[in-house]
Parts: sequence; structure tokens; C-alpha cells
Amino acid sequence: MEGKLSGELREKDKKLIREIRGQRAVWVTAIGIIVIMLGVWVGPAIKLLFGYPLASRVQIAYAGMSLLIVFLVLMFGVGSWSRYVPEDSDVAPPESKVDIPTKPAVQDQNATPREGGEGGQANVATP
Amino acid sequence: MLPLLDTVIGFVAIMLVLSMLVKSLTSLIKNHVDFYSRNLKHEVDRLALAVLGKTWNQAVADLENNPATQRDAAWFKGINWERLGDEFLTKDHMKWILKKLGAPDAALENLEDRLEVHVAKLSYAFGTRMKNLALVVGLALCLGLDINSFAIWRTLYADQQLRTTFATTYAKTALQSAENAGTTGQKGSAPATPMARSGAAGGSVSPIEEQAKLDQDTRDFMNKLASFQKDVAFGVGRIWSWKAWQQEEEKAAQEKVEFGRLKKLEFGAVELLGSLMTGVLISIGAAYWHDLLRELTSFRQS
Repeated sequence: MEGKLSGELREKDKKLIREIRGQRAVWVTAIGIIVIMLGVWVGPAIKLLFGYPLASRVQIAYAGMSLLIVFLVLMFGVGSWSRYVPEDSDVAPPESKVDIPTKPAVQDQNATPREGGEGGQANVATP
Repeated sequence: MLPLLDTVIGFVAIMLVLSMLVKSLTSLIKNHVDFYSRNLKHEVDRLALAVLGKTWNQAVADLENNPATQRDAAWFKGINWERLGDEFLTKDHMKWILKKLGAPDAALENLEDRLEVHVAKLSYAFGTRMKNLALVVGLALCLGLDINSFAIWRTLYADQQLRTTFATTYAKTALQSAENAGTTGQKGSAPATPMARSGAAGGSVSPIEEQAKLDQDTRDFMNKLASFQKDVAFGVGRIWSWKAWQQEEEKAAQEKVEFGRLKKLEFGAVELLGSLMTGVLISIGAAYWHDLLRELTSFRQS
């Protein structure tokens, strides 16, 4: 029972992680494109102000690409989805109730008797 | 053969110094951003959910609503997760806590085994996150400062005096500092546990002392970084340097090639790739570079 439930939970976690990942991937790509575009268009303007080579397009493109790479690795590597569970999963979903055994352990009649023991080994159903 | 060996030794020494810089920076970030306690709280939540059928917060809220157990609820609410480590997850502690939260005896069977699984998950999550953080820090450092491994290798291979200095004095100093910093032995050693955080285990260190230590660590890191930039000036920050651009322009003029858009783009791409490669290389870890440097140095001596 618990195996099934935890499997369902895991599926739910995975689905949530996929959703968050998708949303953030769109954001990251958008920010990356904006940074590169800014580099390409703002570059010449800064060049007029500061002169060569401080504002060369190559330098700005390099800075944009560097930021994008670091941002992507940061988001995918250290961001909330890199954890094995989503951050907001501390609210118990309704199907997560686990059957807690309250009855005494059932004796398994077919079990091999223990050395020195009389009865079969208890097959304890654990949650 | 010797020039190549010297180049390799010099290169490995530089990678070791860089790895140690990344390690220091990662440690600084780790002390500021506490990933560990969030994961610890989550594991306790998971355990409470499995044993009680409700989350930790719900269980504490239930205690609070019951006049007979309101005092216990206050105690549970006062737990400061940032001050706890995985020593909190022992069988005796958790048995007492879960019983207070209303767990039946039958649900506490196999608690020790379950706790082992939770502690393993906690260590795994923390370790993975630290490795990812080290990769990000390494990439950010190399890309930001433009630490180009291609340029470093090329310069070491071409300049005999520089090569000898880096293969002998610099390598020796790097080995010594790595040993002083405790970066010895095992390859791929586990990241520092949160217990290494100052004051995290026993709370014996005051916040003022903790802040002073953080400030000291920050200053040490800045000094090491400045010293690295001074020593390895030939492979650092070429894209930001007016001099490097001029050199490229002169080189193109010597080759009778126009230093046009394509050449500039090529220069930028090489710097980006070189820095990216350095970031990936140093993410292997200081322990690996230390072991490799020690072996290469002893090979050179023999």
C-alpha cells in the first residue's frame, strides 16, 4: 500500500518539478536573449561614450554569454528543482495518508521456525 | 620531454590554486545560504507524514489546538532548524518527538532503519547541491575574470623561464597551501558537512564571532584572488585588457591579416571557450589536482 502511495507521490513530485522546470527554462531563455540583444545594440552606444575596446561588441557578447551560462547552471544545478523534492510539498496531499498498522503482528504459519523458537516468525506488516 | 612535463606541472599547479579559490568561495556562500537545514526540515516532514499521516506543521497545529498539549506545541514551534544537524535524527530523539506528536507505538517500528534512509537522503541532497554550487562558482569565476586555460597552456609551453618557475617554486607553494588547507588524499572527497559551519553544531560560537570569521574568510579569499591574478597575469582577463587587444591587432598586422569583425569574434570565442574549459576543469576538485600535482612533482624529481 505504502509502496503504491509513495510511487504516486513521487510521480506527482516529478510532474511538479517538470512544470517548474519548463516555466523557468522559458524565463532563462528569455533573459538570455534579452542580455545578448542588449549586448549587440547597447554595445555601440557605450562605445561612443567610453571608446574602444571597453564597449566592443565582442566584449559585451562575451559578458552576455558568460552571464547566460552561469545563470543556466545556477538555475538547473542549484535551483529548487535540483532538490529531490519540490519546496512546497510540505502540504500533505489527500492521497498521502498511510495505513498505520494498529493490530498486533500476524503469525505466518508457513514461516520456518527460528532456532530454539517454537512458533513461526512474525511477518510484521510495516508501514 | 622535460618542457612538456614542466608545462603539465605548471598547468596542474594553477588548476590546484584555482580549485582552492573555488572551494573557499563555495564555503563562504554555503555559510551565507543555508541549504542544509531546509533539507533537514523536509526529511523530518517526510518522516512525520509517513508515521503520523500528516505533516509536521499540521501535527504541531493539532497539539496547539488541544489545551492539554499546548505547552508541548510551543516547544515544537521553538525549534530552530538552522541550529540542528543530522545528529537530531537519532532513534531516541525521534521516537520521543513522534510520540509527543501522537504517533502510535505500532507506527514506530523499524524507526531506526527509516531514519538511516532519511539521513542518507539528507547527505546526498546536501552533497549534490554543494557539488553543483562549486561548478557554478568555478564557471562564474573563470568566465568573469576570463581565466583562459588555452592561453595559460600556450604561454607556459612557449616561455621557458615562466615554465620553470611554475613547475618548481609555484607548484611547491601550491602543494604546501593545499596541505595546509586540508585538501589532501582522497579523490572526490565529500564536501564539507554542515557541522563544519562555525557554531552550527553546539551553538558555542556567538553571532559576532561568526560574523568576524566570515569577514576574515572574505578578506583571505580576496587576498588569494589578487595574488593569483598577479601571478598568472598572462592567462587572466585578456578579453577585458586593452593591451591584449592591441597585441592581437599587432599579431594580425604581422600576419598581414585585417583585424576585422571576424578576427575579433574569433578572439572572443576562444576566450569564452578557454574560460569555460577552465571552469569545467577546476570543478573536478582540489583533492584531485593536489594528488596529480604531488605525483607529477615526485616523477619530475626522480
